[in-house]
Amino acid sequence: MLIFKKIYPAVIGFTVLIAVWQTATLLGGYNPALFPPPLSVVSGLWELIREDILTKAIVHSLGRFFAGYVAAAALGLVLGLYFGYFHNAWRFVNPIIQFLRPISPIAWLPFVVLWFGIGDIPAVVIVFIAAFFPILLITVSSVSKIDRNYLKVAKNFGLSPLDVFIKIILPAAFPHMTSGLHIAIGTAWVFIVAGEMVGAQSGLGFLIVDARQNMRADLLMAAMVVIGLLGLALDGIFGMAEKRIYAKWGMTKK
Amino acid sequence: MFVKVDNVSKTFEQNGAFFHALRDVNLEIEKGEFVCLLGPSGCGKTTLLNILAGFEPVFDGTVSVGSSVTIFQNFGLLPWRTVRRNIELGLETKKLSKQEIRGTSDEYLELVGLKSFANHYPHQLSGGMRQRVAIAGALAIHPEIIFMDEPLGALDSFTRMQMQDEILRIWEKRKTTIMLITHDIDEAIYLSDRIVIMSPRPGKIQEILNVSMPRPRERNLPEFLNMRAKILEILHFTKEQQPPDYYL
Ligand SMILES: Nc1ncnc2c1ncn2[C@@H]1O[C@H](COP(=O)(O)OP(=O)(O)O)[C@@H](O)[C@H]1O
Ligand SMILES: [Mg+2]
Repeated sequence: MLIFKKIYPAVIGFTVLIAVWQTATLLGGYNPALFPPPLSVVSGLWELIREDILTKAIVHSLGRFFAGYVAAAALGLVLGLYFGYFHNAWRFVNPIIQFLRPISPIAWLPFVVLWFGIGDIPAVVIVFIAAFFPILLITVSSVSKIDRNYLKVAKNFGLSPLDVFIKIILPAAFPHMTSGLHIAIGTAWVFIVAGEMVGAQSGLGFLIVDARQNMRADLLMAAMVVIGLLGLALDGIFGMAEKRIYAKWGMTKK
Repeated sequence: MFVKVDNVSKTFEQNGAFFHALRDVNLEIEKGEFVCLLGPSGCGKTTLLNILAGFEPVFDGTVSVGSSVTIFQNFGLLPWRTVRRNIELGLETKKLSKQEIRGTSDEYLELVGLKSFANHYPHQLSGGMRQRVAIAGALAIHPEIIFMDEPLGALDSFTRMQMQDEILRIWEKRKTTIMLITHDIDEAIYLSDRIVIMSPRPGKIQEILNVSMPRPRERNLPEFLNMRAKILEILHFTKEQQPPDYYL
């Protein structure tokens, strides 16, 4: 009952969306090859599942995604903690980051292909670039914005610098850091498709390229639906983890 | 002398102008004494405490203080640590084994009556309980002096009176030296051996009063009320020919 209460707006929203979509395709008389109705997308989805294409694509995409994301998280967190702690150094690095950040990860693609070749790597690198900047920036700010009172407590009890870092700064910044990781997961997932459109021979992005080449609008749309649903699931799972962390830290997440 | 404050002055800059948050403060505190710093907001109480506790290294004059721990107005607890682990924070900096730390935190959980809340988090506790955790954590490392900055300011008046008794009980048991900041006149009279009355602009010590009433003190005995009237007078809170009808 409780779960129903939580998800019923989403269920209604999606139902209306699909209904509008179906009506539009019925009344509009569009060419289904250009604008497929929901039912043919479902059958396209079923075709992908039946032929075991979809599962493989999902596994490949998730594999590349997490390779890039975990690398970005590791580097972003370590550097973020460092620059949050040594804020003077950050003053030199911040302008560079602010300069690099607005450059879309897609703009890097030609270089990525030139340097690393095609295959799995471009998608991993694109996801890395997309995830790295938000994680780095939010980690830096979460460390530098730590409640001064916690540092006063540390001084009060005479904690060593290492203890201040491990026992105060890390846990104090932790909830905000997870928010950074949460935001980055959504941002980076958007780019997995672009990464897989250059030369990958598998994955959801490849599915899109493949469907386009075969003029299969239903499969194209089906792949898009799967990408959206996976993004939703990733966000939901991370959101739940984040909520738990906030609750344990005695904070509420708005 | 346990705490010695010699001609301490402190200036702050505000809107480009310098002003004295403290001017020529002199104070001595004996071992085992319970001293209250009393005065209106902005008279420099926190500034003086910050200097004594070492949080404010820049000032004029000299101070000498033994090992101290401060209890902050917001309790200074770490929200991600349980009650027990909060009490153990200071102990972890000492060269103690795990069992010794456990044993000591057990002892202080017992002392402040929070044994059954050892594994709770601060946000699951009431204000009074959080304050007891802070006190336990401070006592556990055996400081020579405990500074408290308006430790009961955030509590409702009933919890507040309970906590005053609690602080007195612990102080009598442990004989730690305590300097407590308050802007509550009754609280100062109820608790202290001596009341240091401060006045603002510039922040200075106006007068130091001895409180010789035996404990536990009764809040509506004539002696208590006389003391209150005297303090109100010192703080210029009495109207001519009228009994005091309000207090801070
Ligand atoms: N860091 C600071 N910079 C500038 N002014 C300060 C600073 N800290 C305190 N003050 C000022 O010094 C005066 C005394 O403050 P404080 O010691 O906090 O008073 P109290 O604790 O008695 O209320 C106040 O006028 C306050 O605004
Ligand atoms: Mg104050």
